[in-house]
This record gives sequence, C-alpha cells and structure tokens, in this order.
Amino acid sequence: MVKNEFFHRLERLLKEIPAKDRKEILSDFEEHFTIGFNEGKTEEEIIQELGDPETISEEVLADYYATNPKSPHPVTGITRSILAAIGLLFFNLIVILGPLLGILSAYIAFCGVSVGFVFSPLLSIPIGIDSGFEPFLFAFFSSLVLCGIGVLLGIAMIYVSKFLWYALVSYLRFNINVIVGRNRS
Amino acid sequence: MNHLNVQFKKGVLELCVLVLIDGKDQYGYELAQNISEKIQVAEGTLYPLLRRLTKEGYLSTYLGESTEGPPRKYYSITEKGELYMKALIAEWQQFSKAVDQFIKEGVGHGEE
Repeated sequence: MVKNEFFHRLERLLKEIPAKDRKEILSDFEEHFTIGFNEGKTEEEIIQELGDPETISEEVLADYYATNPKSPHPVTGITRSILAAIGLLFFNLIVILGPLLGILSAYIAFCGVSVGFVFSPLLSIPIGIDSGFEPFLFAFFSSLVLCGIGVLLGIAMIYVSKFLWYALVSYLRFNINVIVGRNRS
Repeated sequence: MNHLNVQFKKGVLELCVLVLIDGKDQYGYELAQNISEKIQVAEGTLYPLLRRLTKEGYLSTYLGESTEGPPRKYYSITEKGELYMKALIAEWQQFSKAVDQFIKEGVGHGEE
C-alpha cells in the first residue's frame, strides 16, 4: 500500500464524519508523512508504523461518536423524522396547498372545456329540431371547429396530465425522502 | 502489549501522551516516535487520541515553524489537562501498585 491508497482508504472510511473534521484528520496524517519523508523514511515504512486505515478509522469514529452524542444517526432517527414530517406538513399547507389547488382546478376546468368542445356538434341537433335546417347547418359546422379545438386541447391535456403526475410523484418522493432521512451525504 | 484489553491500553496511552506533552510541547510525529520507541502501538491511533484530548480542553495546539518543510502542529498541555493528568497519575500509581502486589503474591505463591 502506498500513501495515496492509504489516504484514499482512510478518507472513504471516514465519510460519515463532517468534512471539516475529516480534512483536519487527514492533514494531521499529511504532516506525519511529510516529516517522515524528511527523516528519510519510505511510504511503506511510515504506513507500517501508522497502522492500517481500518484501525485508525475505528479509533476516529469511536472518539467522534463519543464526543458528539447528538449525531443525527439511527438513535435520534425517529425524532428527526417526526420533526421533518411536522415541518413538511406546515410547509405543504402554507406554501404548496394553495398553488396546487389552483393548478388542479385549472387542469380540471381545461379538461371539462376540452370534453365540452369535442361533443359540441351534438348541440346542433336540438337547434336543428327547434329552428330548421339552415340554423342546424350553421351550428353544426361552427361546432365542428370547436370540436377540432377540443380534440387539440384534449391532446395537450394528456401531456399536461403526464407532466403533473410526474411532478406530483417526484414531490411526494421528495417528501418521503426528507422524512425518512435518505439522500443525506 | 497486544494482549491487554483495548480500553485499558487506550487509557494508559492517554496518560503517556499527557505526561510526554507535559514534559515538552511536541508535534504529532515526534510524540508518535517517542511513544512507539517503548510501547507497541499503531502510531495512527495517536492522532484521534490527540484530537479528543484537544477537544476536551486538556491539550491546545499551535503552529510552530520548522527548519525543514511546512510549519508543524504542536501540542501543549492546558491547566485543565495538567489537573487531569495528575488525577490519572495518582490513579495509575495506586492501580499499578496493587497489580504489582497481586503479581508478586501470586507468582511467589505458585513457586512455593
């Protein structure tokens, strides 16, 4: 094992402690290597004296958790989750709920309009019965235009719903991650 | 010293580190050499120990210039560390006296 590998392994083993502490620890070892080199030692000799990264990291982690009992780890996981859930609940109620309802009602309204437009030619039948053939033709052809618009709108709404569904699912997943405490590096 | 309990070893090392630094401010490498001359220890584990003692306020650090290479991190003992060390020494002396006594009696008894 050479110096680079030593540092690489040590750094990986220490990834659960804060970056600042990790950097300080690694710089202590950096200093140790520098002085060792000045005294004419080889990388192998120095590593031999230091011991393997596993032993060192065990020591570091044990000390770290002994002096930082408030670490956000399994023991306090439940409390943290509850707090996160409460925080999210308020955030969702105050910030997210209003816009979400607005977007959803606009979405439903557009869907309704689309369906209405598509079936609008049917309305020309009662007009025909009431007012004769010419008004029927006029209503029928103008409603065909509406029907076309309705079909296009419908296609657009399919895309919109896909997007909304995707956004909603991602947002819910984000919420769950925050509560469970994943995605923390 | 490989057979002794790890916790025991850690406690004794802590005492040695404090005593050595109380004698003379030193940097990590120097301390590691001084200790490993007499006690078999993975030198790398001294650094976590030094960090902990510093965090607990028993040691303080400062950067000292060196004739070769970059400045070195020196450790010196604090007043709090001094008191702590004295308590540890008293405990250790009482403890080792008792252990010596037991060994002497035990071994002597076995030979009779």
